[in-house]
Amino acid sequence: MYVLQAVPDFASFPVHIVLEELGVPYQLNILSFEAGDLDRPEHRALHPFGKIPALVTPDGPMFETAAILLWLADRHGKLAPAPDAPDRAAFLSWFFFTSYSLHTGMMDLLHSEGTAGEANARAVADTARARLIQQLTEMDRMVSTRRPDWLSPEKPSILTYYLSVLLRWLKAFPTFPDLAIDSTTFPALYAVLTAMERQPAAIRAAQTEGLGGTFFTDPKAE
Amino acid sequence: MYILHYAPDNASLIVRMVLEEMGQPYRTALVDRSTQQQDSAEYRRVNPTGLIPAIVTPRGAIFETAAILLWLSEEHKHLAPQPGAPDRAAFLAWLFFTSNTLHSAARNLFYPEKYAGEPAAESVFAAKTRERVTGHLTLIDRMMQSDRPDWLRADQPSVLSYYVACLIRWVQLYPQKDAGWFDLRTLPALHALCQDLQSRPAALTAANAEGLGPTIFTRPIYADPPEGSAL
Repeated sequence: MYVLQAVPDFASFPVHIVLEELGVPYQLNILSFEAGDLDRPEHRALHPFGKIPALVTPDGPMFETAAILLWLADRHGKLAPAPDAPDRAAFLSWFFFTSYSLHTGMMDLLHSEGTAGEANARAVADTARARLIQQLTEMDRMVSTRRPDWLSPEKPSILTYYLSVLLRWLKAFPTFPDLAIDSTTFPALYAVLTAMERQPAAIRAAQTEGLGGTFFTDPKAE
Repeated sequence: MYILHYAPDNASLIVRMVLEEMGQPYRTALVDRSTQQQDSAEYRRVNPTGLIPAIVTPRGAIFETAAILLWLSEEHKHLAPQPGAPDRAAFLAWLFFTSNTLHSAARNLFYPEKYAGEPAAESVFAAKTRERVTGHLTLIDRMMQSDRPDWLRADQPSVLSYYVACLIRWVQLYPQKDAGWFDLRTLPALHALCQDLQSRPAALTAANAEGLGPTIFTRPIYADPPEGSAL
């Protein structure tokens, strides 16, 4: 039985959806950021620097959103090309791209004061937004030209859910509201979001975390 | 035969060392940074993000340093815990941490002009970035001392040990105008790992090919490559 250390709408959200999609038994351990739960020794024992998510597995606790997603996909043989599949190469490229470029860019857009101090927050957020738009444009072009099986509206994968959650946050939570990134600008990615928020697994996880309606495509309206 | 698209002393170095360590045949294709070849239409066809490295395999092109490392380790079942192994979970966690946290912070350090947003922000940005890089490396060092993982230790190379050692090299060298602040001796487990790795034949062969000189991880000097440009 897995145990997911979660805070609603934190990076545990894509892991939560994937556990639902896999249909494996797990326990959701909801923590409160405001109450300081992340600094408590019980959580620190599962995550070396007290962040979210952490997943307790039969092989020990593990951290890092993308690492957990990939480990779950490999372990259960679902939701990603297997290690010996021909499209593992392209999948891994775009999966690490999402973690290395999009996820870190998202942090700069949403928490820019942490990157360069309060006085420079706007400049950092502006440049992060420009970079993210360029990167998402590349990804959108790749999806519309190559139509990969592992990033498609037809079929959930660990990448469709990871990307959907990132695009939710890019639209809903930038420090400077005028810097929100509108996912409708990327039609092929938007089609993925539209399909993913209709998946029963995603709806169940969203409801448990208090999110409803158009939680991927139009988070402000939910 | 793999084709590694590379620039000397760029992140492609990590992949070159791993290919050498695995004994896999490959040839290199220079991406000439002095003429911004990484932005050319030709290179963008291999890697749409324009970052170095990319590698062409029988299964198509792969980009993103960590993706290439993980794929090679799976393809050749070498230099990393395989899927299903009990230490795969911890290995993946620290591989992703190295990529999206340590490597991305190192990139912020090397190119403050790209991430700080405006010249006035650069010095605060650089100072905060140095703190972050030190913090991340300290976490890795402590984990090595407490957990003693097989996939990140002196005397037994892995894709992750080459990845971390190369980042440590560059943190000591770049950006050139701010170099010299980092002292590897404060991190004993990583220092030992770097010392061991830099004397391995795979590292020496790669260092020689790219003109890196001696002690490439513990006391690095700037590259003097036979072709191409590091910056």
